Amino acid sequence: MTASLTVNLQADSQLLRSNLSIDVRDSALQLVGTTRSGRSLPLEPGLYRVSAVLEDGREHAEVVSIAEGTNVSVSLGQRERDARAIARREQVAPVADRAVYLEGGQFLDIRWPRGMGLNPEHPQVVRWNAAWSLYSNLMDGLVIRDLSLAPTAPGTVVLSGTLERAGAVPLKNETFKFDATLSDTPDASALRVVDAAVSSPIVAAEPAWRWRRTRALRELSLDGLPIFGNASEDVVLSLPGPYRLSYNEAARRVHVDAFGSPDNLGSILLTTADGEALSPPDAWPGRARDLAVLREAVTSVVGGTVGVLAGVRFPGTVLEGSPIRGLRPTMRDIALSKVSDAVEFASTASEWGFCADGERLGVAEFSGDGNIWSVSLPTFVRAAHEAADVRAGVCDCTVRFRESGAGVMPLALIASWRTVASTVQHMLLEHRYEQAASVAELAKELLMYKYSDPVGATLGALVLHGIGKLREKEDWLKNLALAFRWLPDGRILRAALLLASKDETERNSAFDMLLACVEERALFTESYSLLLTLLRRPRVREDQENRRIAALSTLSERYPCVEWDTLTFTTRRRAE
Amino acid sequence: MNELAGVGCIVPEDLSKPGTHVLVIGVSHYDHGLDTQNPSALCAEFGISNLTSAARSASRIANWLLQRNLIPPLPPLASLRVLLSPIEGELDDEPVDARLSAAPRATRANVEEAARQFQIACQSHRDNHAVVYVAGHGIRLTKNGALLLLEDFGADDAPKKLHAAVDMISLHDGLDHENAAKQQCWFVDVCREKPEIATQYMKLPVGIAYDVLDDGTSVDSSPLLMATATGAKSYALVGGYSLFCDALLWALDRGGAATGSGGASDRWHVSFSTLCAKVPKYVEEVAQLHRLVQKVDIGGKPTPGVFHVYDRRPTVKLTISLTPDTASSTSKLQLMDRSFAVVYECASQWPASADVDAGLYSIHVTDASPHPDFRDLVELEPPAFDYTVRLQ
Repeated sequence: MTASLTVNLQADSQLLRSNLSIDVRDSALQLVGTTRSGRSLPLEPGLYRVSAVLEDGREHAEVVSIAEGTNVSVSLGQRERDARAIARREQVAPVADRAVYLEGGQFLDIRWPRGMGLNPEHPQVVRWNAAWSLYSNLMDGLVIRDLSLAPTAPGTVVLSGTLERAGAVPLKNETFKFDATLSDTPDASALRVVDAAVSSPIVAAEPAWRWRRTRALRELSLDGLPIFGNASEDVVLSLPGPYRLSYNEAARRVHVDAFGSPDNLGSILLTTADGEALSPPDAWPGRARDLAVLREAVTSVVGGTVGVLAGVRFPGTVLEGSPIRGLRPTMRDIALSKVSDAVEFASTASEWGFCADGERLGVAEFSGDGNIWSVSLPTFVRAAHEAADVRAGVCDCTVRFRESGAGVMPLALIASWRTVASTVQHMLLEHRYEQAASVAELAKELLMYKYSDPVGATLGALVLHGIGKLREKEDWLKNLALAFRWLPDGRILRAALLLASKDETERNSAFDMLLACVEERALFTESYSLLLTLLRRPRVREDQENRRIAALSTLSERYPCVEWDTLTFTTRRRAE
Repeated sequence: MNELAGVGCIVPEDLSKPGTHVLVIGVSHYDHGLDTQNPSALCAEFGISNLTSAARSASRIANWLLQRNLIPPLPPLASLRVLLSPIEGELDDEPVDARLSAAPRATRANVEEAARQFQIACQSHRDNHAVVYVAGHGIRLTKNGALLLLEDFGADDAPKKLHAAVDMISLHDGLDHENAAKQQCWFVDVCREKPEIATQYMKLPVGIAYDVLDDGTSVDSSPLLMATATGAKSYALVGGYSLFCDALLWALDRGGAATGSGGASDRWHVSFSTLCAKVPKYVEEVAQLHRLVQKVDIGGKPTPGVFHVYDRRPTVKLTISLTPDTASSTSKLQLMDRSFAVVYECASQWPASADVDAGLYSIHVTDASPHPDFRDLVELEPPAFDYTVRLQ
């Protein structure tokens, strides 16, 4: 071994940072070893992939080249950590600077200068094309949904839709609705130069975008006769084209809409510094990449009826996005109508925050979209003797809304400062069961003896139950079930173990425990599902069988509609 | 070794040694569905009409399971039971093994017998493996539990409302004990009915169910992947396969969930872990591209295990584009392995495409004047990898 590798994990929790397992694979992706953060691993020179599943439940990986005699250091999770920090600061969606729709090409383009995609420092574009039905920016976690385009007049279209932005994990996606009126007044003899930037955020429910036009057209000429104009104004041309456009700065990002004869829909001639190039005769976004190369080098455009937009030729009218209204978070359509045994705290524009209110299970009720949801809240319930203010200024858990197959659905999440519980939660949501079990095992002392977070302990117990290892922690589970009477989940889990007992008394006791839990609201959906599954199994004794059927009837009446795809127990009913 | 053992078994059943036992059910045709000549009241209540691709998807999955090469530590195929209720013409032109044409209809009677024999097979050796895939209409009763509705579901003269339904969670839990196949994988590709309807049926007995032993013992692992969320449809491409089926084929046949050695296998393989992580993502992303929402749920016991082993390193279809285009006439591409030996090169033919083994590589682009040379390290994951070289 003549080289070595050191991997540094960027995790918020010291416990996780020092204990999470890091896989190291060779160039054939064969596992050559595992290591921990900060430790040096001797390796042969070569290419290696290092990876770990971090607090967000996602696998973070880097490919590194290790040369002979070197010690290479790699950091995992730093970018995501930065992104999370930015996301925490954000109260509203970032500013979009441009929206363009091309009638002929059926092509919509919304552009953010920065701050919208997964890489917060890079500009992002989301595109939609009629031929593709949808063209989203999946790489940057941006997706347009439910897009509606309604022409209201020649050269005017009203668009509305929803934009979803991926969060640090998929279930933290944020959803924004947007609507806009895009318009232009195509004129056979008009040429308009648009070079615009937006000066105001469009998320603040402003009635309109305000355009700030800053750059002037340097030169427009017809057969050598210069015509001068300003960027914000239409230029009326006396004769039909072709016209020559030229700029003082070759790299300037100027968009030109030239409207002329409607018959000329074929290829157009682009004159570049090195010669002439012909644009492909289609408007597919895939071609945009080819032509984008030309954009900076284009010094003139010959021909009418076409627009040159970011290097793509479109056989139609370019409609610009002014004004755009909206792009507001969906949750503004949803209202928090009631909170029981918890306190709303530190809510933001896109999610509600909650803290515990005594040793009780909190429930929040939301209304909107014709529904009323009741959501069990995974708050940080402290024992009576513990200090009340563990983390000043931050909430214990949040609730946000996301799209599901049948509309929107609330999702309650444990706050990230509860690192162990939050990590287990994200690993479950990302289907990383092996890692979730490892973390639950890792944290068992924390969960078993300190009782600092019974909600986190219950989540750990659910993971252990899911992988069949809960029986090894039976004593701990007994304590969890007995010590936290306000949390029925522990008793449901305990009953699940006791029902397998050879002792009939224990089995009967477990059955009674289940029946008692019917009267209480569960915290986690998984616990409630387990309760139902256990109650659906027929009993041999007639008296128990009758009580079992009665219990199922009670549950089906009390919770006719359960949102099974949520982490915490969530029910829905239609609003009156 | 028995001859074909009972209903739906299309390969000779062998219970003499540990093996892999498979049960596949696909129901597209419903005798009493809304679009039949004699729709029943129950089918009307559930809004059940014929499906177009459930049987085809089941047939395709069964075909893959039948033809796959089972490499240790996976035990050999010891039984494969297939029951299909296609609509007319659904399986025409389906490129599957001829043995699948013998699959009986997925009626209550056939499925009950096949399920019974499957249970016996799974319990024949502790070292057995089991795979279950079902597709059709369904009802979701709990987070992890769903009913599969069979071809004759909803008959007015049925003794019970749920007579022709299979309680999938009871089948799953009924095989979760120390005498059953130690590794199992369950795929439930059903639509989930609206929960308002489902809760009415929560306390009703289901026609086909296993007894759950509850003896405190359990199998090593038995993940259960459910194709869709509450009240949501499980989508399929018209004339194609269900999205979930497509995701499984992507993950298994095309290597989308393949991972290198480590853990339980010293070869490239698909583990339960990668299956549970990658199939939901694939389904969600493909659904998004069609402006749909479909989310896969994972239940059961998703502990470590190997689902499929490859006999060689998977191949990746690599496509490398170059920008700016003006540099393409001179630029040369080299793909290098760990020792910087060139495994692929091309000159001035962009985009470059090649089939290469999955793994880590170094990409070099030279002679791109006036642009500087370009280098990057990439991980090529099957089945395909698109990359754009952006010259500065």
